[in-house]
Amino acid sequence: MLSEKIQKILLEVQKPGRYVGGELNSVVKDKDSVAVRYAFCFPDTYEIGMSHLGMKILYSVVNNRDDAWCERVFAPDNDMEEKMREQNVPLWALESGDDVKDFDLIGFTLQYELSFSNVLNMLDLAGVPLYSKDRPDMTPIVVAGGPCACNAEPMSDFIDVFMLGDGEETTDLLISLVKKHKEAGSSKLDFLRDVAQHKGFYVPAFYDVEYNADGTISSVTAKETAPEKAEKAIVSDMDKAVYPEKFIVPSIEVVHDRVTAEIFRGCIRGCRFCQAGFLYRPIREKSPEVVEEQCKKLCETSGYDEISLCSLSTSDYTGLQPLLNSMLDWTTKDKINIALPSLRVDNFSDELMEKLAVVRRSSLTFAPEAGTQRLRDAINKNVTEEDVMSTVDKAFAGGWTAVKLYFMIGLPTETLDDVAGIAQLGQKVVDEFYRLPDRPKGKGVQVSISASSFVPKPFTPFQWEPQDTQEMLAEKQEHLMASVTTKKIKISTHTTQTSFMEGVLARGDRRLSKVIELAWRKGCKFDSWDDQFRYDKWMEAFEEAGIDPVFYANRRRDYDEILPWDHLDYGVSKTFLINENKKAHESVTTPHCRIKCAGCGANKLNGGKCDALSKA
Amino acid sequence: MRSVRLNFSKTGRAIYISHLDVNRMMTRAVRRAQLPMWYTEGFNPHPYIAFALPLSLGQSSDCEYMDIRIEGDMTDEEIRQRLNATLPEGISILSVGAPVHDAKDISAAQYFVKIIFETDAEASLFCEKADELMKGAELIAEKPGKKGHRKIMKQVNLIDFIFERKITCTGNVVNLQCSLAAGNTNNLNPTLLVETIENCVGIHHKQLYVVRKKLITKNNEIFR
Ligand code: SF4
Repeated sequence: MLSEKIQKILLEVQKPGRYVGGELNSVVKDKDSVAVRYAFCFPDTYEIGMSHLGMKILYSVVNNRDDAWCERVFAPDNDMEEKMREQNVPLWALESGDDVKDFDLIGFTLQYELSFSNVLNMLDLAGVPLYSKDRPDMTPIVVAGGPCACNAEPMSDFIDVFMLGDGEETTDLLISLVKKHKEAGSSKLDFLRDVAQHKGFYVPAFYDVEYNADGTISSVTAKETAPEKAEKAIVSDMDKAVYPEKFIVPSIEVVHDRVTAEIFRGCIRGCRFCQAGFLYRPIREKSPEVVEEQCKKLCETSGYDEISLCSLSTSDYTGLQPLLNSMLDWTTKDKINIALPSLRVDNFSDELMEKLAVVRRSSLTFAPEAGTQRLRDAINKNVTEEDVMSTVDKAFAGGWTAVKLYFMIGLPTETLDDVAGIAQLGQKVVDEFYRLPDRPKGKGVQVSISASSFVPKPFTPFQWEPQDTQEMLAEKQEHLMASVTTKKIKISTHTTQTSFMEGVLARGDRRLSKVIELAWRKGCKFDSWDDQFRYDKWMEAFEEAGIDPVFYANRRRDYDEILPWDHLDYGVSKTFLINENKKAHESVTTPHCRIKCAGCGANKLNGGKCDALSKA
Repeated sequence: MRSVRLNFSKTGRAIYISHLDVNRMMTRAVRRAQLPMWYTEGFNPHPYIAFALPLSLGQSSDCEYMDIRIEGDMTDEEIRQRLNATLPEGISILSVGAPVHDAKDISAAQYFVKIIFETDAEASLFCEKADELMKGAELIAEKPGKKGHRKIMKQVNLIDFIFERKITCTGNVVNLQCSLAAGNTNNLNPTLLVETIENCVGIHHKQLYVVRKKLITKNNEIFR
């Protein structure tokens, strides 16, 4: 099925297994028997994309239908791209080996802002015109979803339709709409007019944006069939939502190669820096019985020996203990590990801990996010020093000598004292180790501190905040280094240039489409890979476009400024976010949703229902 | 506990899966097939799985072998069927039985090589020259090797590693059937042989397909 041209270049590149498909449980259909062909594109390498749960779910949604066929496409690595361009081989889809440009739908998942340039690169490799306006035909339609669709404006010149929120039902509807309009011989405009009326879709071309002299937005006007505000879609009942019965089992090694079970969507915590915590509200739980059944099936059909129970905050799952107790019966017998990422172990029973993979990992991780209680209150991160200490006590008592702590610098209201607090907390963990009588003998302790740079994101209480400038971040990083007095603490920080670009794109507007195109033309791609990120090229692109990136990253917005994403509705209300922002500046916390509903407004999307309240 | 040798083929898209990845894939396949695997003892028990003679990336084969150990009395045929029901495209179990030879005794492999050229003239030129060169006493190629700990390029005479050969040509296609040294001590990859000849002639193929057909032991028996 792979053309001779493709076969020829496969042996000239690294890890050709990434480009051939044919993995167990991948779906091959007869292309003449389906009405709609969907190329699901992940704008990063195979190893990263194949680890992604959303893709697996949507792959099932489409392939469960007899009238549609979903195939996968990933960004080719540089060596492959070079061969493709040299030999004129356009981008193909893995299952059929067919050219992506011949598909009805080309869908991208936007997981991080720094993958935007890869989207352009993939369209170009496919031979599809980059700009929506240069694609007059009904097909291919280029769509995009994922968390970054919540402020899709920088990509809005390239994408025909954005999909907001949960993709299960909207993807299914999209396929039906494409089928209908293809059969009716509709024009692209007819199709877009139809799509724009449905919840969960956003057609950027149907909104006119005007600007003030100072560069801020003066108005956004909906036209054609578009609603004034495009609302995100949500799956109301997680037990009934489509979940794959089979995962594609990659034939080569990928980043996360295991069964993943989603236990709930949304989060009760309300950490003010965390975009996911607001984007996926309201919280919706899957029942333990359904989770267990899905895990069992997936293990059987994949042969994996690890299950990861994933969510934004695993400890908050109301059914966690019964689920684990029930699952451990068969997972132990079948020699399957259960991994619990984002789990807080401080209030977890010793007995369960012992049985789980969490304790088998070589180092224990914990995320206090900020170094002082004052700042943790400001960001509403509900972790105290005692929590940190009781966690590391458990770890040390269990024989661990390595602890990894995650922090952010550049948080709103942060001072140099807060930064020094990170080092001090690290020091306390070191001291705690030597204080413990039952610490592992004959070994030193190793505390690794990861300090990433905070990037303000849309739909969070910090969406109005200026991002720290690179100079400020550099100063804080230095201050952090200088505050550490022992070799037992190791600090890692991130490059400030990457965070800056992420910040610009995260809160950018449509005028940035031009910049993204220019940067891509200058060779920018794989921007999330430190070794490939070209800051200088991006800055040249801004220069040429006459756009100042600082305007987007480092400027404080007024509460009444029209933000580029204000015409999208993700459920949480602006009043709520403003309130949270004010409380942050007073270092006042908001209790989590099971203690008291904070009135975020997201439950209106779910008929007033919120699992934080019904499952308290 | 008994040892079982599985003979499998690797074709189509599966030829791009590396030896290491085939190993991992099979570990999962035996789990899916729910074979009653025998587990090693000790701190980290794992099923016993061993492979004979790795195959180069991009080559097909009818003679891949995997040894496993199983408990209980599942028949060879059931093992074959269960595994075949759960293997990815291009990997297929051909036969199952008790191991006869020791993998250490493999000394040669038989290949079918198909070399496609742009033109008929190139193909016949290659065919003629290749025949001549392989009949000769010396065909020198550079192979990466080691001197102490240093990596160096070694000069080797490929003629020493060619045991049988038959070359024919139809149109722009050259067919080469050969038996080449294979195993732990000496190994000649047919791709290297073809490319060395091409370098001597000064032409280059358009497409190259290699199929490993059989493994041969030092006593000149077919490995099984
Ligand atoms: S509706 Fe209330 S309880 Fe539910 S997520 Fe929003 S604030 Fe939390």
